[in-house]
Amino acid sequence: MNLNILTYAIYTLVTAFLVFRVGWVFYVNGAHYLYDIFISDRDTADSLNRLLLLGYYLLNLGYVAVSLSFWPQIEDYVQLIEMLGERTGIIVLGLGVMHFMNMAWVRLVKHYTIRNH
Amino acid sequence: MNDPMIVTETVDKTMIVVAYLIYLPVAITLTYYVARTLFKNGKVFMLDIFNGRENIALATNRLFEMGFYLLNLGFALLILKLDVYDPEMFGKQEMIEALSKKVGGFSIYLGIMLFLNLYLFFRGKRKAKERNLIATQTMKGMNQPPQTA
Repeated sequence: MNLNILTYAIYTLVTAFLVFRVGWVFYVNGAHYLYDIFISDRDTADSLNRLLLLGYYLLNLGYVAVSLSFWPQIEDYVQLIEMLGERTGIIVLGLGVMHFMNMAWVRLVKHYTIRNH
Repeated sequence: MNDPMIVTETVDKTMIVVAYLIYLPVAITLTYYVARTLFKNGKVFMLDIFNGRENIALATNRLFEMGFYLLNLGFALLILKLDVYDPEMFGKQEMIEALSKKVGGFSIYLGIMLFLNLYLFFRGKRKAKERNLIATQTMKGMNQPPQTA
């Protein structure tokens, strides 16, 4: 059996699950932040939240799909585990860094909206 | 024997796979317990920081928890790979040594992340206190008659 195809299948399933799950948590909990910024305008906050979720899915699933074409040839199960760990680690760590950058960004926006009102 | 394909197929690498299969559950449970303990106790700090506004305090707590999981599990997966120069010599002793180095290093990293989070909690609490102090002082100032020179 071709180990590369097996690895691609595992990688896609795991990362897609992670991206959907994490995105949903961000969508639900981030809404409170947007309500805080758009105090008088809940509809705008809701649509912005949905658009952000869509953009997040597009970026991350797109990255997963593109990164499949940069895998080396996989020779045995040890290499399979190593490569899966490394690639999944990169995307999970990237998600974490992006998440904290987004939270800092929301704080900054809130800071300026309060100052200008 | 010059063909690398043949070499990798003949060498027995079971011990390396066993090492990975031990490392992964250990790292994941360790992260899970640390995150659960940290953010179960983080709620109190968040409620303090957001002046008891429960919606946003709990949301922030959840978001920080998610970020904590992402950063630490990502790091755990990234350092998974063992550098084994000679798989033939990788026996039980070498596996235990390599594992203790990995798991120990990861738990030190987790400890540093825990203290970083604690520092953030206390910093947020201090800032909230300062904000409240300024707010009460301006209110007092507005009630008092303007001072004349």
